[in-house]
Amino acid sequence: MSTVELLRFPFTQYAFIASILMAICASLIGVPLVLKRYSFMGFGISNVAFMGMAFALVIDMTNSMALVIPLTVAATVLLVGLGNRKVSGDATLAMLTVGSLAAGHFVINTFSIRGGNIDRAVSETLFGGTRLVTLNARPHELWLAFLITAMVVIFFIFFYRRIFAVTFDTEFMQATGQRPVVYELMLSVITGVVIAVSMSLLGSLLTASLIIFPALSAMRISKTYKGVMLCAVVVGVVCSPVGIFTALLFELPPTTTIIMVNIAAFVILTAVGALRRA
Amino acid sequence: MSDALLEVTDLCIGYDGKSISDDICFSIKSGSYLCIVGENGTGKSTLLKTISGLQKPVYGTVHFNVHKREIGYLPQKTAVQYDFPASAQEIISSGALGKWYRPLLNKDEKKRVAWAAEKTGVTAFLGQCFRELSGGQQQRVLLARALVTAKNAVILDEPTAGLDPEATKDFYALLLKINRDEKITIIMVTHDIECAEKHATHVLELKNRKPDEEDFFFGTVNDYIERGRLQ
Repeated sequence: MSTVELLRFPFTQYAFIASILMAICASLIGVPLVLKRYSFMGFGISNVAFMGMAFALVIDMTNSMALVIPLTVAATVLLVGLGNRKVSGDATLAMLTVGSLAAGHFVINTFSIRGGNIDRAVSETLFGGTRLVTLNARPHELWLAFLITAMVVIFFIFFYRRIFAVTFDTEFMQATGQRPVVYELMLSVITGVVIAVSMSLLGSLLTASLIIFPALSAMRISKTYKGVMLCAVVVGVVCSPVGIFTALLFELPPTTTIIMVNIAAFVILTAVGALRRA
Repeated sequence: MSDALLEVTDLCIGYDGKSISDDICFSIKSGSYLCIVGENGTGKSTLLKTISGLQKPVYGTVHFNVHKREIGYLPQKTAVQYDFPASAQEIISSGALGKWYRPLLNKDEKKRVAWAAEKTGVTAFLGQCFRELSGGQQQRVLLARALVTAKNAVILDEPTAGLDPEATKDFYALLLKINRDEKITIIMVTHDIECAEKHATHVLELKNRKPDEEDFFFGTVNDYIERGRLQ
């Protein structure tokens, strides 16, 4: 089957739409996360989401999001709160990452009553499908993705100045009678929701990548905060379809191909940034 | 007492309920220039953080006769800020607090930003990236941000830490000018006794605790110099 023919199938189009929408969300929340030194959090929370999915599978929940979203939101709020108080947030994050990955794998292998190939199910939730057909995007989940994306974009437009302030200097906000905690909490909740939804659509590894790579690439070339935000979204939105298209052309695993494209973009933009400064 | 800008009454500072000072009492009027001096470990920064509301007092009160939103703050630089991708313009603008739902500045706020940039002499590099500026320029940008917020007072925590002598001198001269010309109250923690004696109107000195001796001194700068001579 030719690539052009494949593009006509709904599941191919779902994959394109889902990856672009999640790239928008993840690259937006990625900028404040990376700047506040929470880069690794995306991966940690994705693993918490994996554990949630595993539990949902074992107890045979029809709508796993009802369990996964509260879990990821709680974990994000916990980690951001710890980071602020300078209690060892680093160790907590490491425990959460490793622990939830192990717990998820454990329950799914020990208690799963469903038949079928468990290893494949695990691999797909972590790394996404190895073929496009198995990318998890389904129409009803796409609506959720649309809704979340609209929410994130509106939040980032209206709260733009507060997000800047909370990223750059929470002490200044507090000393001038504002409440940075409120905005940090809102950012954490949104981060948790985005990771949960993105994880169910694209797998946890791609979710973590979409949070860090576009933001880091954008920081190589842009010198203003607004520029970094816009550039991150552009990088994220361009890399996803390019990755899927490349995967279709050469029959590669789509999610990891998208990540490879993101890494390539990072290398190229780093070079561009270095040349500009030279 | 009612014409005081800041009144500190029976204030005991410390961490987690453990006190590190005696009861500190003082008040300053609008337009003053207060330097908080003292050796390392006497709690200068803790006092400043307590005054600006970043930290709770063990007991006692800090009272400003103006709204907190009219007081600017210049904190010690954090690791995040050294390589932060933002232009000087964006950082100064973040001093305009405004309503949360407006992503852009309104006319008055834009004017205020331009005014603060001009006062601090950073207009020429507004478009430049913060991390590419020199240490002295960075501090002036942060001072401009504080001025955008401040209609009454600016609180500064060792603003010249890490600056070379030339930049330090320039920064102190700038502060004095803002204090005299714009009648903006300055409350600053500093190591620099010479600056305190030359520029300040009042000095608060924190000392290491000894039994039977008060561990702080507060008075006008002349009292402070006089007392230094006697000792």
